[in-house]
Amino acid sequence: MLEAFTNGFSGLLAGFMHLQISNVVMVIVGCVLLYLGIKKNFEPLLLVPIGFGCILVNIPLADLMEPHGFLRTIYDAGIMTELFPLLIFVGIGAMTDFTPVLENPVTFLLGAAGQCGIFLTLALALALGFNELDAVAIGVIGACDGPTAIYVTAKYAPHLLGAVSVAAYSYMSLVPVIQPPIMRLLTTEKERTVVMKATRKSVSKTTRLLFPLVITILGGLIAPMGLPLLGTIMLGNLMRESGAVERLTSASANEMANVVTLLLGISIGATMDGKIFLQTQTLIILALGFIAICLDTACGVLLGKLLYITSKGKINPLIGAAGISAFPMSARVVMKEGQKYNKKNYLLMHAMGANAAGQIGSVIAAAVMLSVLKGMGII
Amino acid sequence: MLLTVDTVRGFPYIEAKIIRSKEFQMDKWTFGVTMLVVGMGGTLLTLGIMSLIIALLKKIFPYEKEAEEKS
Repeated sequence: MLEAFTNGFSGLLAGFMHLQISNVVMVIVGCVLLYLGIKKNFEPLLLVPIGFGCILVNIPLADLMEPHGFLRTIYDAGIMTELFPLLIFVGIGAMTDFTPVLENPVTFLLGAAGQCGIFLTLALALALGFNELDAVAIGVIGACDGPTAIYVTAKYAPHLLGAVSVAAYSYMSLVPVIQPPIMRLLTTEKERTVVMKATRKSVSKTTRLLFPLVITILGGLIAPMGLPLLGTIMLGNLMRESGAVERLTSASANEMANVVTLLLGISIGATMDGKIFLQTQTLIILALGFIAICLDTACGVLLGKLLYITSKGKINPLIGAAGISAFPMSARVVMKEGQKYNKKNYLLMHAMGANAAGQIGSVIAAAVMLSVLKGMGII
Repeated sequence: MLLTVDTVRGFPYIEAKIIRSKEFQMDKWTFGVTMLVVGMGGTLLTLGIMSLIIALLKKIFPYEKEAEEKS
């Protein structure tokens, strides 16, 4: 009887007995993510489930990420199949109004410049000794686009998924802190005060309807490896612009996006097992992710400066910083920064154009990257 | 340069031929520079083409205030 009692009691203590220092550290990391999400309002929709998933997976003996564990089931069903990021993209397409970029198609170029960080960081990661596919996954943090980063990393470097996703979402939420100093560093006060003309509503419904179709077909032909990313975001946008399937548009933008965001977040958190996550490599990835976003901003502003010169001072180079995919946060940062130097300067709609172009740009950059890798026989 | 042809069978009878150099190997430096030039160049080119097509679409289907308001 006493032995049965002792054995039963030891079952209650087993969790404490198996607790390792790495688990404790990761539980603290999970709590920090929860704090950032709940108290600081940094990407709460993702940081809250990621933080909680991180805590869950670091409680010993629960085996939530072992075969048949519930987190493993969600992870296998949605991340390993690449389904969750793609479903999120349908929702993003249904939510995003691409009219600002259609009004001023030249902003597509700013969306391209905002992706330079991906390729420069990839090169930097290679120089630091990461292998080709790991470097690709690290570089894609520079897309400033969570679902794209998750899609590419889950497919080609799943062991880095936790670090890459946390870096992507954390830095996206830190855009208002990261971008302004770079914008100020690279522009003169005269450039920052440039007032851009208000945009007219000049895009016909036919153009708005043809836009997702043209982008899908053209993008798919140039970079077929990225068609799942491009096709899903454009499907969402076609549903939105057609106005014919309001129920589907609303469900994609709300119910589906919400459910998938929850499942995506918790399964990313589940990859943050202390034994795997707490490595020097993770810190290097976080640092490289930061560099990637700084480089994106710098390249965007530099192209903005080039457009300022070629347009004879009609384009404010600050809008170049919005050529990243952090939508619409980056556009708001540009607007705020512009108004610091000229209170009558309303850059929001122009920056929204660059920002929407950045959304497409990040997907195109990932698609091109995957197709180049395929062409070289790496994947 | 030795070339090899990989045949990819698609739907339903389409065959695409991918030609690449035989025993294609490269060091990290070559890979990095290729990704930087072809990847970034490809992104810029693709988005540049897209911007031209959108500008063209806007010319073909101009915004007409009354027709848009009716629809």
